Amino acid sequence: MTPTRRTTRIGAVAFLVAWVFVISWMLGVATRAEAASSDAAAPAAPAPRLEERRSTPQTTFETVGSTVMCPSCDTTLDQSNSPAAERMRVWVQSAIAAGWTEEEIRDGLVDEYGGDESILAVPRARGLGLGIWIVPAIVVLAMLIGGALLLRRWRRPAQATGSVSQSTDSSSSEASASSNSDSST
Amino acid sequence: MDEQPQPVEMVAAQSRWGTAAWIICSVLLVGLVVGTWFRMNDERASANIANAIIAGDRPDAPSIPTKGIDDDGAPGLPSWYRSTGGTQTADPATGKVLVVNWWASWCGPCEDEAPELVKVADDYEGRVVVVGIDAGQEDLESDARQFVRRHELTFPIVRGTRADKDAWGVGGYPETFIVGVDGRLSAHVNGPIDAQELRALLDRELDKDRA
Repeated sequence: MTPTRRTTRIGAVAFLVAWVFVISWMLGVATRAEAASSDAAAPAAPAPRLEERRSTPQTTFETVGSTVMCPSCDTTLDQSNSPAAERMRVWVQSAIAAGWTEEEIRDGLVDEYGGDESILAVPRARGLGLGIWIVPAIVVLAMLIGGALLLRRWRRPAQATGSVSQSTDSSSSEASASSNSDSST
Repeated sequence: MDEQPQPVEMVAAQSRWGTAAWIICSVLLVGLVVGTWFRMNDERASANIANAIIAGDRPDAPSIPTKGIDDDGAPGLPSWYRSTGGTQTADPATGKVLVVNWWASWCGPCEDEAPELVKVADDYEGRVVVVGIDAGQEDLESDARQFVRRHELTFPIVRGTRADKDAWGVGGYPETFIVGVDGRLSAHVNGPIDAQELRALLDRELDKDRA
């Protein structure tokens, strides 16, 4: 393995690691921006009152608990036992008993917490919240394209010298040839 | 297997890729560090309010939210307070000393403190306005309403947001601030406050205004 090639490999690995950083950072920014924008937004239509009963529960606490955040502890409700989470749990359980659906409960909670959508574990896919779906898609696409380009670069030396494989149609033999040559150094 | 010789232009192309990757990584890492630094700076700024008061400064009071606990606003908020959009007026003739109390309905010490605040608000009526800021982003609105009814809170109660909490540098509940008629913070009490302690702080502030 030549020093140049080693540098390229290290560069490529660092490149991928950096992308992972960027994704997580952008996710954080999108969530924060969404939280900030919801502060300014007008409060949503009032949720139905808990007294409106359906005959049977529509969901379970296990289902809802992992989709909403404890408002004071940065974990989901089902993993929190702070006093604030305890009150939230009581509220959710009474809403379930009253036959509210999962979506109604989330809407109701956002309303109860002053329209603050940061209590949702997954931001709603609209406005700035769309970013958390679109940005990773673009990033993954960019990584795939970048990875494909890098692979082509790595394979080309074997193809160009033609000392291992004369055929141009068998890409797998080129790949194994180049990895063999790497391990021999 | 022998090391394969590489054509010069291929080596050059590979090193270009390597260099590009290194540059991109460096830029991203620098961005990450700068971003983190700015975020930490934000947090420091709010902590500075409490520190500045301890150091004897009178930092500007952050604005007070105006959203009431009921849909019909916050009854009892004085007109001068509304007209300035939540910040204290600078006119001593119409301004009053403010007691800004952050609370949440699930907070035990807040329960103990509420009757004390009511007592002081009654005693100092006309000179002092107590404003309760409910931790709206952490407190169910229905719980907060019950709390207000249970303790028969007569002073104005508003609902705070996450942004308000950050601006005031509030870490837990309850926390109490005293805002002079100049719109500046003169005292900060972490944890529950009793009527006696609050009276002492208010008398000191009112004396300062008279002088």
